[in-house]
Amino acid sequence: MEPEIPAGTEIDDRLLMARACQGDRDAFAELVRRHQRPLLNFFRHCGVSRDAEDLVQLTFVRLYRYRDRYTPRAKLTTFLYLLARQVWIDELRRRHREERLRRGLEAEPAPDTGAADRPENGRMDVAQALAALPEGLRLVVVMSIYQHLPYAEIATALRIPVGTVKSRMFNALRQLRQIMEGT
Amino acid sequence: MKRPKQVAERQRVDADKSTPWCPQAVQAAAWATGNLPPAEQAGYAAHVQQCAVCADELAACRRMVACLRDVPAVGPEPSANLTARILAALPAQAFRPTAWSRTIFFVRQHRYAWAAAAAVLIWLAAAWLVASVGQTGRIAQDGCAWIASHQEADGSWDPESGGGVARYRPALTALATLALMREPDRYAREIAAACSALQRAQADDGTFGPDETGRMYNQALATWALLSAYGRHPEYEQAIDRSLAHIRMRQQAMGGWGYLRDGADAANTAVTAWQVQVLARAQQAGWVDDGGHLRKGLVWLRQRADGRGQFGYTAGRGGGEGTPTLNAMGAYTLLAAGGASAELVSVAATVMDRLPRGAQGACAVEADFYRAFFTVAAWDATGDRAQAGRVRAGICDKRETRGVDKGSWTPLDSWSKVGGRLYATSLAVLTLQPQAKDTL
Repeated sequence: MEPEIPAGTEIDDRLLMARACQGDRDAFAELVRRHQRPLLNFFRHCGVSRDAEDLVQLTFVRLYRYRDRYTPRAKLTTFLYLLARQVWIDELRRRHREERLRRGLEAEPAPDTGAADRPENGRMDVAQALAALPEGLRLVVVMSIYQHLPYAEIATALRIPVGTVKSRMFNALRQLRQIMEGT
Repeated sequence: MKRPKQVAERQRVDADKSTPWCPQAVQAAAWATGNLPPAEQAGYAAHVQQCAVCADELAACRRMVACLRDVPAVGPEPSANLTARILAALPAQAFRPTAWSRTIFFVRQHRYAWAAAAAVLIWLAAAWLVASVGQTGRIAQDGCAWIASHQEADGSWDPESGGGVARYRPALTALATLALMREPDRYAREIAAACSALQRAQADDGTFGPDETGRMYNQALATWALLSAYGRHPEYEQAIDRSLAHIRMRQQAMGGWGYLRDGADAANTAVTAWQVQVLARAQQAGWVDDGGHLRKGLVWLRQRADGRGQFGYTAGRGGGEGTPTLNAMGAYTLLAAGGASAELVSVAATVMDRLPRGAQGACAVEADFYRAFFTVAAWDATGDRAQAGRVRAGICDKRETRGVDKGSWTPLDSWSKVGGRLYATSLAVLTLQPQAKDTL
C-alpha cells in the first residue's frame, strides 16, 4: 500500500517521482512547481535570456520521458540537472549551427554583441565575467553557487570526477578574478 | 593513474603560477564554497596559518564567492502558466500508466525484497531439482536392478517371461541392454554378456531374429545396442558391419523401409525412423555412408510430414493422419539424425508445435511408454526440459512400488502385448534418462 501524500507537507522528491511514475499527474505537477524556478535560474546563469522557459519545459519533458531511468537511491535534483545539462548542450549545438548558417548567408559577419563583450574600460561585472568563462567552468560555478549543489552531485550531473569539479571551481574563481580585473 | 582530463586540469593550474604556488591551493575554492569535507577542514585551516599562498588564495576565493552570491536573481519570475505549459507539452499518453510501467516501478521500489524473494525461490527450485533428479535417478536405478535380475544365463532376456513375444528376443535384449547402459560400470558384466548374446544371435547375413514382420525392429535395436557398446567393445565391429549392410540392403528405392524383405509392403514411418536413427549413429561412430542411405532415408521421412506438422504413416496415405507417437518419433528422428539441416529442423519444429503441451499433454503421454520415450527425447532435443520433466514425473508415478515386480513398470499400452514387462521397464528407464537422445 502506497502512503498517501498529506496535503501541505513537504514530500520527498523521490516519493513524488515514484508516484508520478505510477501515473500520478498531481505528483509530477508538484515536482514541476518545486523545481521550475531553480531550473530557470540555472539556464539564465548559463547565459540564456529569452528562451529559458522553453529549456525548462524541455528538461521536464525529458524527465518524463526518461523516468524509468531514475533510481530512487539518487537525489532527484542530480538527475534533473543531468537532464538540464543535456538540454543546455543541445541548445548550444543548435545555436552554433544557427550561427554558422547565419555567418554563411551573410556577406559580412554581424557584430558580436554577446554579453561577454569586454567593456571599453576593460573591466566587467560578475555577470559579464561569468558569461565570459569557458562552458565547463561556468557550469560548475552555476551549479555550485546558484543551484547550491554539492560537488558530488555536480560530478554526477556533469559526469566528471569530484576532483575535476574541485579543480574546475578553483580555476573558475581565478579566471573570474582575472577577467574582472582586466588582466 | 590519473586520467588525461585530470592531468590537463592540473597542468592548466600549474601554468598559471606566475606567483609563488602551493599544491594545496585548490582546497581554498572548496572551502570557500562550503565543499571541503569536515575531516579536511582542521588540517587545511592549520595549513593556511603557515602558508601565505593559501591564505591569499582563500581570501581571494571567499571574496569572489561573495561577489557571485551578491548577483541578484537574473530575469523575472517564472510565467504564471509555466507549470500548465509544461504539463501540456508532455506526450498525449502521459500519466496513463501501463501495466508494464506499474510493474517496473513496483519492482524497482521493492528491489531488495524482490532480490531476497528471488534468491529464496532459486534456492527452493534448486533444492527441488536436486531432490527430483535424485528421486528420478533412484527410480531408474531400481528399474535397472529389476532388468538385471531378469537376465538369462546366456546374457539375453526372455520376452515371454514378462508377457512378450518370443520373436522379439533380439530387440528386447537390446532394449534392456541400452537401459543398463545408464550405469555402464555397475552393469559392465551384464552389458558384455548381453552384447555377446546379440552377437551369437546374429545370422551370417547380418540379420537378427526370424524373418517375420518384426525383423527390422530386431535389426535396428540390436545394431543400436552394439553401436552403443562399440566404444568399450571394438570387437563388435564386424557384427555391426554385417548388420548395417543388411539395413542398407533392405532400403527401398524411394528411401524408406518396410516390414518385409521382398518390398511387398510399403515403407512406413515407424520402421524407417528406427533405421535412420541407427544409420545416423553409425555415421557418428565412424561408419561412412557411401551409398547415401542415411540421406535418402531422411528425405523419405521428411516427405511424410505435411505443412501442418503431421506425419503420415506411408507414402501412399500421405500426411495428415499422424498420431502423437508418430509425430514425436518423426520429429525426434529429424532432429537427432538430421544434423544441422535447417530444413529438417524447421519441419521438426512445425511438428513439435502441434505436440500436446502442459500437464494435460504430459498425462496423455505417460500412458504409452513408446510414445513417452520419443516425446521426451523430442522435448529434450529442443531444450524444453520443463515439458520433458512433466512426462518423466508421470512415468515415475507409474512404477511398481511393492511385490515381486517392485521397481518395474506394468505393461499397459498397445506395445505391451508384444514386449511385456521388459519392454515397459526398459523404455521407462530410458525415458527417465536425462538427454535420452544421447543414449538411445
